[in-house]
Amino acid sequence: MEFKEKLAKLAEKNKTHFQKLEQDKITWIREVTKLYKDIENWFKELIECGHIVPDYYSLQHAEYEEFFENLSIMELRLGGGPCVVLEPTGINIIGAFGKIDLYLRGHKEEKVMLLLIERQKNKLQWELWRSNKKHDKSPFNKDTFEKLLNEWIDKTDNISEEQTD
Amino acid sequence: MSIKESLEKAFQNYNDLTEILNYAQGEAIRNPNFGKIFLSNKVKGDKRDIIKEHFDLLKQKITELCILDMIAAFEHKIFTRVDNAHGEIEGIVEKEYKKRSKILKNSSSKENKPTPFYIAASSFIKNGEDIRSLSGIKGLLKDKLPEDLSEELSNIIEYRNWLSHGKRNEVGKNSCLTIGDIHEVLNDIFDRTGNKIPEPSASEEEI
Repeated sequence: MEFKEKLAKLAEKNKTHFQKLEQDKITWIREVTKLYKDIENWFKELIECGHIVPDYYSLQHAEYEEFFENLSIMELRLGGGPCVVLEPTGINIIGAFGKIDLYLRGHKEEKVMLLLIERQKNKLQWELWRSNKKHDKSPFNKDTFEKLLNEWIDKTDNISEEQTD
Repeated sequence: MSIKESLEKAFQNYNDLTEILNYAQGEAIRNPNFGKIFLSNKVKGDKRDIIKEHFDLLKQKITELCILDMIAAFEHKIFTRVDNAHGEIEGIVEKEYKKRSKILKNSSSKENKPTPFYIAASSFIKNGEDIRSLSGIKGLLKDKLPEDLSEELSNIIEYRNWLSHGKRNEVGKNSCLTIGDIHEVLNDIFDRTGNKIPEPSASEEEI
């Protein structure tokens, strides 16, 4: 292959890679923002009566500058007590488009994962993974999130009972 | 210490350190004198939340370090096994193949199979030096592991690279595997490289 031709091919390849990466960043920002809005909608009534208080903080670690500028950590304070954290970790991940760590503040060792996955072409969906095992994976929606929050509230109740014993 | 024990120890270390952090976190919240160690002077917001946030960062760090420690323990043992297997296999090939060539030389029987390249028999064996990384192990076990296990090993290699090279996008990738998943995968692979055919893994049963 001629030098000129080789350079043209390399430039095209890098251009495609760069364009794809830029598109992926936009998609990630859009999907995370949409998820946060969806969560606020799922719990609209509870938010309005103050039983769930959403809050947003700057990311502590991000793969790209755009993520610092356009994404946040979402926190949901439940009943004035425990705090649930949704922390977007990024798009450089195997087996998924992107990942959010989901955990109860102070219990990060028990975090679960929210993965944005392309199961069908051009169709991304959020899944809740407690581990890599098939039976620990489920779609992420209002019901599965509520179930998880229920478990965590029970857990923190147990913890506070243990601490006062 | 066997590999099982090494991996178990690494996993136990993780559990112990997490327990210690959980205890320290509780103590920091209960005891202001201890808690202030983890707070900067200008604290804004709920002190308990700040302490918890601080401990979440520590737990994240501990998890990552323990994953690296577990993979290092696996590497240490698996490469000893590679060296042993390499020596044994090389010895057998040399001995048996050359022995056959000697029989052939002294016999006119047509039943004896020919032994071409007998002078270089051991050169046909992969050199132990070729298998000096986890990717080398993966190459060695290519097509010998179930597809999902092979993918998980690739996943672990990428994740290890990502963690140990500063979480840069250029080297390795983040992973959906938990430390518990990694512990299970490495145990499974070690079983499969041993003398016995292991029981089917949970993932194979699921299929």
